[in-house]
Amino acid sequence: MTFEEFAVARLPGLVRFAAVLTGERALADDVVQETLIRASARWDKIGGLDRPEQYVRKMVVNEFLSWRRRSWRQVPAGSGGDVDDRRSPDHATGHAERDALLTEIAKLPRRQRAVLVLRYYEGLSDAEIAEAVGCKPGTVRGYASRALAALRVELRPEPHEGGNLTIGEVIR
Amino acid sequence: MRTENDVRDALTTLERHAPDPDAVLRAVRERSAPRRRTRWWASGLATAGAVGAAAAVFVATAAPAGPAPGVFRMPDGAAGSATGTGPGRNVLLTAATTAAHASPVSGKYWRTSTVTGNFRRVGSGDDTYLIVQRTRDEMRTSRSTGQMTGYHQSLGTQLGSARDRAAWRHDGSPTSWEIGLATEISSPDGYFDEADGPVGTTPGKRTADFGGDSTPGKPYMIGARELSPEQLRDLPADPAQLRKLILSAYDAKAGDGPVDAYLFSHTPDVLAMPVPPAVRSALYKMLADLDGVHAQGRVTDVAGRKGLAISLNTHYQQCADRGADQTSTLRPCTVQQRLVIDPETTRPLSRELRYVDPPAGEPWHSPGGLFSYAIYQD
Repeated sequence: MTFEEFAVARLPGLVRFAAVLTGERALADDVVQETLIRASARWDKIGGLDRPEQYVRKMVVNEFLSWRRRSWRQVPAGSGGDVDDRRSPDHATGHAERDALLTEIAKLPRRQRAVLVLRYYEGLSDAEIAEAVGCKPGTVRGYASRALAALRVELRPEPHEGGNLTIGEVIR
Repeated sequence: MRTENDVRDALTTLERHAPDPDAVLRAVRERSAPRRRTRWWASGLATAGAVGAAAAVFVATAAPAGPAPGVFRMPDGAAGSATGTGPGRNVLLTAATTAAHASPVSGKYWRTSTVTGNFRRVGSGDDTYLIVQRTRDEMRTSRSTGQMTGYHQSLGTQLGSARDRAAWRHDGSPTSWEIGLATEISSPDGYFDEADGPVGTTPGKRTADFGGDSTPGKPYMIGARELSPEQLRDLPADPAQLRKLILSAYDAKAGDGPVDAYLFSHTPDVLAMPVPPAVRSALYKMLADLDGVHAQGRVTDVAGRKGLAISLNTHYQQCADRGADQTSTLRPCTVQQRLVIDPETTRPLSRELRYVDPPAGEPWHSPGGLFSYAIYQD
């Protein structure tokens, strides 16, 4: 699969994912652009993977998580320089409770937000999320439970699919 | 009360903020247009074949050239041993007694610095060799407010050992490497912050990270809990309760492995925190009760410091290693975790992971081969 073929087939899904991950159109656009530029430069490797879309999705997550660190030129949230469409209520559907929930999600630390999006929007297991976020599965559960507690979400015990049994972690 | 479904539904509505894919792709094409030919031949990561493929559409960015890699050298006496001199229980109980009588931590700030080295497999075919990717993480926390400042720095990459030098030369004597899927050793979470893109022999900048995503004022993470300095001081001096706390994020189904191995690998980070003497003592008592802990006597650690070593060997049915074809192979292996402590202060000096039995068919690992280490410094 060439990079162009990949982009045509996967970009619509990728921009939707980035929109949910970032919650803002401008940031989603930036994050996807940066990711694709870097992915295309290494396409000889990525294109040969079984599931290149998974690797690119991981790159999008990394880009989002590291965005603030690198991009100090970003207009700080709430300073009015950019349309912050996270906070505009969705009058069309009139779901006040849902908008309240989105407002609270927007306040979560990025890593917690990314874990929620990967778990509930992408439907990944904790082991898969750990791989995408670059941490241990236990840490994923820590982030998820803190995020859900902050959002006051009631949890029914619901086992998440485990990954392969693998050896003790590499020291980080 | 909200449900997980509410979260799912709310998140899905954010799809409406998706940018136009065609516009994104146009912008990417424009920004990636080749401006000048990159000196790809100077870049170790780009083999002729790989550049040919990449240059069909875009030109790969060359990594900056760095100095020739140094070689990781194991200090004399730091080679590790497969079995150990005897049961580790007594050594750990002695440490527990020493710890209980140590003076409590004082000072306004608590500083720690951890250097980690992770061995990665690079090159291809017969020219496969190991490099060590080294990073330093520093943390300074106020003991009154819990406010934390962290620093992160890549320390540059070394060759895994002198015997890796020949394969490195065959590989074109690169000074940077692409770290990613194909270089992973033995871990589902072997990804690093630097995973995307090249790592080189040139050390990176030291960058500040003001607490990252941790909850402000609660810089100490144990298991699934984040703790403030007061909460750390108020931890129960009870081995069973500490064990439960460290295991609060443990999940066998998610690949966390045997409980004892998990406790052995997660407790040293807690020992490195400014916990009260009684808590440190209880942590050592908890370790003393683990099955299969061995004493290795007085050793030199990977940083060349003398200390007492205890080890735990764990056999795993499935050790993951991604081959050069980027598919995972799962084979049995035995891994030794070694913890080196300073017997006087009872602070941890280092942790090391070695293969006692490497996964079969992986000539780049020798029995006893170190593949990951962490050095705790004050």
